[in-house]
This record gives sequence, structure tokens and C-alpha cells, in this order.
Amino acid sequence: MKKYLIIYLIFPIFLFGITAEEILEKVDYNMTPSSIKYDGEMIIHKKNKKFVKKMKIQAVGKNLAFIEFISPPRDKGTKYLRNGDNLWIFLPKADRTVKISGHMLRQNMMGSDISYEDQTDRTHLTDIYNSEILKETEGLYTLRLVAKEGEDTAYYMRVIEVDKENYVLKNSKMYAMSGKLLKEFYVDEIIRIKGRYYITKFRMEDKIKKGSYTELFLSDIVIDPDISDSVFTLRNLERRN
Amino acid sequence: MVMLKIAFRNIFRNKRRSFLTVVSTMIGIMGVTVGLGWVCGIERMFTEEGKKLTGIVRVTAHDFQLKEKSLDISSNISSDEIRKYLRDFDGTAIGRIKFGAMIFSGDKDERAMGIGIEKEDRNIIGFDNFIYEGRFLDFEKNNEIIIGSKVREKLGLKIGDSVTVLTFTQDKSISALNYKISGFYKMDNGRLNRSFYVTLKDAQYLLDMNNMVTEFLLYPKEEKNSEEYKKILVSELGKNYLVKLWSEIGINEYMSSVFPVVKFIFTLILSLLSGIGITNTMMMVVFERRKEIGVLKSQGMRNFEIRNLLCLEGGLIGSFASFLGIVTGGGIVYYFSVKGIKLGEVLETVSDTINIQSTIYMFFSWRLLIFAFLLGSILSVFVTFMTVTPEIKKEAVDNLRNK
Repeated sequence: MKKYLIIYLIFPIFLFGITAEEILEKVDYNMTPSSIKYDGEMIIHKKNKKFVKKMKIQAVGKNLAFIEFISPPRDKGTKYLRNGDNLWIFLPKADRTVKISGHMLRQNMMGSDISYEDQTDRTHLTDIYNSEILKETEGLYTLRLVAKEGEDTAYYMRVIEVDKENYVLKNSKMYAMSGKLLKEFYVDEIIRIKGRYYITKFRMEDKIKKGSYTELFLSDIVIDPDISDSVFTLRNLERRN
Repeated sequence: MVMLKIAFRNIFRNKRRSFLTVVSTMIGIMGVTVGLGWVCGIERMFTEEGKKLTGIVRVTAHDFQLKEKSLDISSNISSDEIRKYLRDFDGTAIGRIKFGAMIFSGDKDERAMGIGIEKEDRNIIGFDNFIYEGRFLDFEKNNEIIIGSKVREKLGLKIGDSVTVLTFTQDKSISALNYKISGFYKMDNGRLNRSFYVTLKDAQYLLDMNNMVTEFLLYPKEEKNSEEYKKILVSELGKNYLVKLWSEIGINEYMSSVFPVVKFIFTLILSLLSGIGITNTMMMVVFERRKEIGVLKSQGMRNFEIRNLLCLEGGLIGSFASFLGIVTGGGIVYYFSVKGIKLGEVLETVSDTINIQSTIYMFFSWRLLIFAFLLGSILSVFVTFMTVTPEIKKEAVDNLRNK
């Protein structure tokens, strides 16, 4: 009887070969190196119009991120500093820093479909979501992630598709607690750097807004660079270039 | 002519009676004049102030009404697009943008409604009456701001200070600019004093809304043409736009449907009150003269002659009293139409789509005086007629016995 019970319990592992948690850990490994630096080009598509914004991003660990916009002229010099649950924005035209936190972090950044939280949050998915495998096809795992109890996540539930070959997200649908689809994320391109598969081109569609989506192209990616702590300070944020 | 002579003689024969009749009728007519001057003044304030802030014809995006309260500027329209269809328009056409913002000064900040305006708004809104320190915006300069008294108080601002206006652009990006204060204003509606004005050009830059506005307002020279302009715009602009007359917008819609009823009820009540007073006085005058009617009858005067004589007397007294009533009432209305009556800040919390004034100006018009005069005169004759008719039908002896 005991033998049957053990077989019954470990049978799913044999069936899928890998657990949802393990898949998510591999995804996290690819997506969140200990530190990263890259240039980003954000293309916002809105009702047949296209807005291009360029930025430089540096991030360390789960909590620290620094973004500086370098174009267009209207946004040049706008900087964002994320430290934990707080985000400071430096607005060069007004020479003023504004702190935002809480639900304000879920506002879209620079008019794009990507929120401040989407762009600057580097929390591991395994830390905040419980996962289960919904489907396995020849090339993809489909996982359902549901927020762990007590975790205040931007999206209560996600349904993600993970490439079996490299454990990179192919697609992610983000849902509210009510089950309403809020956003959809599509990966268009990846590269392999320092043993990780990193996304270099993706698309985000805010399903609440109609007729808009945002593309982000990443270039000059440096994985695990040494980034000084002084980057993530208000002094650096308010420094005029 | 003889009748007129007798009527005048009768009026002056009992001076005290005539005086009292004149005074009571005059008070009634004065009351009607002042009461209607007040109601018309309030109505005029609502209509005129409503038009100032909403335009006589307003064009917005179709979803503007849903987003108006939250000052969501994503509901916007191209002013150039609308101007294309207004080549033959005779009047003033302006764009405005209303947006929510935070004003920062030093470490202090205050939430306020921002409004981007064009230079024509100086006269349309009447800023020269409201600016109590500094001056209106200079449209040749960039980044000037005029600020409402409440915001000024909260932030402790003075002329020449620089403030930061922080807001969201139409695509929800954070945007901020510094502005130099050129003036402070105080409007009668306290809510509007929690706002600030910048030039439309500056607002469009701040909000990243090149050539776009949230409201496009028309002030035709001839207001009677407004319906026609509305029709043109509705047919040309299509369903993505919402074209409304001022009387169809927000509180104006309610007021313009309610006011005619209120005015009618007021007119009726005031006319009834003064009518009862006049009727009472005239009836007493006629009843007091029963014996006189009897004497006139016994001396051979015919019924219709007696009726005509008394009606003529009633008409003369009524007209004279009404004239005095409209002179005194008209004088009061005229005085308060210039000076106004201050109500304090009781109306502070009313909607910000209208600058409801805490000073009510009565409305003086010749039509109002003519109405009150005719009311007093006609009512006097009518009441006399109605009271005399049963009296003259009696036998002379009954009149003499005062039955």
C-alpha cells in the first residue's frame, strides 16, 4: 500500500519531468541577474501614432533601479530612482524631485503601457507567486502563477508561457483578482549573455487602454556589472548632466 | 370729460381714503417690482455666468462628460479641426483645457484645478473684476500663472514667486514646469479660488497636447444664431464630438429648465399677494361708498355710468399708485442692480462649472416696470369692476341702507 502511495505522490514529477517551481526558478535566473545595465528604446504605439523614448537603465539586486531618459528632448534628463517600495522621479524642467509610492507605482511610465513597477521591479517570481503547470506542449510550458497569501502584487494572477529550451518567457498574461485581463506581455527576441537568456525585445499591451501597445528594445546589455552604490542616491538623481 | 372731472373730484374729496388706497397699492406694486427684479437678477446671474464658463456653444470629445469630473485630459479634441468648419462664424471662438495638478512652492504643496485659457478669456470671464493683486497673464510671455486666493493662502505666495505645477500628460506621463506668478484673483465661487490659470499654449506644452483642447467654446455675436452653429458642427464633426448649447450643460441644463417655472411661480405669488392687497383696498373703497351709489342712483344716474365712474376712479388711483410703486420699486431694483446684495460665502461649495456670485445683482429692465405698472392699473380697474357690478344691481334703497 505504502509503495503505491509513494508512486502516486511522485507520479506527477515523472509525468512532467520538472515542477512548476523549478521552471519558475529557471525563468527568474534568466530574468534577474544580480546586477544589469542596458540602453532601452521604448516605442509607444498609440492610435496610429508612434512615440520613441530612449533611456539608460542600471539595476542591482531586487530593490535598486535607476533609469535616465536621454530622448526625446521633452523627456531628456528625467530620471527615476527605485529603492524598495519607493520611487523618486527627477523632473529637470521643474528642477524638482517627486516621490511616489504605493499604488502610484502601478501608473504607466512616460505614457507607455509599462508601469513604473513593471520596469523597475526585479523581485523573483518564485518569491511572490505560487505556481502550477497548466499545460505542456512540445516546446512550451504553460504555468499559472497566483499571488502568495499576503503578497501585494501588481497582478494577482499570471498565465505564462515558458520556452522549454531556454526557460525564457514567451508570453505572459497578467490578471486582476477579479479575473480581468490587465496586460499582455510578448517576447520577440532573446540573446544569450554570460550563460543567461535575456530578453532584448518585448511588447507590452495594456488591455484596459484601447489601441495602444509599447515595444521595448534593449541594447548594450551588460550582465553583472559593478555598479557603485552612489548611483542609487538622491544626490545622483538630482545631479544635472 | 365730465366723468373724468367727477372722478378727480371724488378722489380729492376724501383725501385720507385715496391716500391709503394709493399707499397700499403702491406697496403691492413695489413688492412685485423688487421681487421680480431679484428673481430675474438671479436668473441672469446663472445664465450669464454659466455662459462665461461653458461657452454659448461648447464642443468636446464624445466622452468628455464621463471624464470631466476627474479632469481627465485624455478626452480632448483638435481646435484646428473645429475651426475648419467655422469660417463664416461671427463671434469669439476659444479653446480651453482643464486639468488636475499639484502646485509646489518650497516644501508646501496644494492640489488645484488648472485651466489653460486664451487671451479673449480676459473679457469673457471678466478677470479684471477678479484680479486683486498683480496683473492678468501676458500672452507674449511663457510660463506665467495667475493663482486663486485659496491656493495663495495655503502656500503663502506673493507676486513674482516661482511655483512648480506637477501634473500628468494626456498619456499619463508625469510632467512638471515652473511658472512665475503674475497675479492673484478672487472669484465669488470659492471653488474657483482653488484653481490657477495659465496660457493655453503653456498648458498644451505642459500636458503634451499640441493644438488639442478639452473644450472648444463659441460665443456668437448674435446669440440667436447659436442653434444654427450647433447644427453645423453636429453635422460636420460627427459622432466623435459632443456639441452642446450652454443650456444643455451640467447645472445650466437644470437651471434653464427650472428657472422659467420658478419665475412663473414667483410672478404668480407676487401678483397674487399684491392683487389681494389691491382687491381688499378697492373692495373697501367700493363698500364704503354704497350709500353714495344709492344717492347717485336715486338722483337718476344710470348703472353703467356709476360703474364707469367708479372704475375710472379705481383706474386713476391704481395707475397713480402703480406709477409710484414702479418708481420706488424700480429705484430699489436699479440701486441693487448696480451695488448688488452681498450674501457672504454661503454659495462657496456650488459646482465649479459656474461662477455663482455671493453678490446678487438685481435685474433692472423697463419691461419689468411696464409689467408691474400694467398689473397694478389693470388689477385696480378689474377689481373695482367686479366689486361695483353686484352693488349697482341692487335697489337704490338697499344701497342707501348699506345692505
